[in-house]
Amino acid sequence: MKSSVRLYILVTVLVSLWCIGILAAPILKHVGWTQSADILYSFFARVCHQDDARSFHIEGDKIGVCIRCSAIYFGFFLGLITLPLLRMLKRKNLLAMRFFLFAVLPMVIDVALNITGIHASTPMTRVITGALFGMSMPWFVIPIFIEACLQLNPRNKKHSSESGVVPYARKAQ
Amino acid sequence: MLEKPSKLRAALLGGLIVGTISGLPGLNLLNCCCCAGILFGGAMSVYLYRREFTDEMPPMESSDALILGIIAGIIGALVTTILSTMISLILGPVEIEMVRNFVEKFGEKLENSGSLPPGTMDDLREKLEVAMKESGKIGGILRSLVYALILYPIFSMLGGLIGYGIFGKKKPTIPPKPPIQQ
Repeated sequence: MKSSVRLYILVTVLVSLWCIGILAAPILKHVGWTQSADILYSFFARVCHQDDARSFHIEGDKIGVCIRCSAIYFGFFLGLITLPLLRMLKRKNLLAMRFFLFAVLPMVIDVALNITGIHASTPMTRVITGALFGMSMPWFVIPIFIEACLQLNPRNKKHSSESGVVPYARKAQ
Repeated sequence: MLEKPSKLRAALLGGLIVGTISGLPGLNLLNCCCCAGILFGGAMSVYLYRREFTDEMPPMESSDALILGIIAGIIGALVTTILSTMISLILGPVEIEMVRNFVEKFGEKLENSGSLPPGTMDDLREKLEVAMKESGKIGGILRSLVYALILYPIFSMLGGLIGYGIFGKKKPTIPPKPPIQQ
């Protein structure tokens, strides 16, 4: 198995665990494992406000993160599993930066309009803009991540032409 | 050809950005939006590192951005923990009162405009009470340090890789024009 494929599988497993953790918090609480649920809630509290009114619920308890964050993380997972289908594991197939910025923009506008009080964001806008950002992120970041990891491996450095690892800056020239 | 510049300075500055954004009350609300402050710090460390390169040096690689992001995240986690502990020890109730006032004023404004659903303010007040009880306790500090040491390097690394996509491109050097012969 190629190193890039192994790395991709590892990242997919880790992201899956992250997403499972988000869903596991309310389920654990529901089945009575409150201590484990509390650990998960306090872990995710570091990355999200966990506002009850702005979260999806399972069995009456909120999930680990808010609606926007869950859309981002599950969107990331979805973007990650579609990567091989779009053949973007290699750096040369990478989406242009402007597409990524287009994907970020709707979420930034939604947050800005909500904070300024011009337009209140709804669960629907949070899901759509968050998922758009989350899905585009792996298409942009994962190929760079895989390239970076392959560069760190001395064996790949020696045979960089065989592994297809070409430094981004060098290619741009 | 010259060697690549040292990563320490850029990583330290990036870590300080991460730590300051995440450690200062009010400013750390930025992290509620997908850890935006941490992503920004990671990207900034790559930007600062990229600026140190000259034409004689080998080009910056994505592995440099990956390492920079991780180091900036680790430094950021330590800075955040130290900063927030110091603030809660020195300012103590003053800081919490400041945050409470900010939340009350800002929250009411958002609640009136419909941006915050009803019940959110009560939830925030409850969270502040919990934070008040936990602040300054060694167990709480250690727990937040462990969480920060796991989360910050991940998000800062992501920021570093995004930063590499934005700033990593080396501008082609334009050769000087030959003098015009008369």
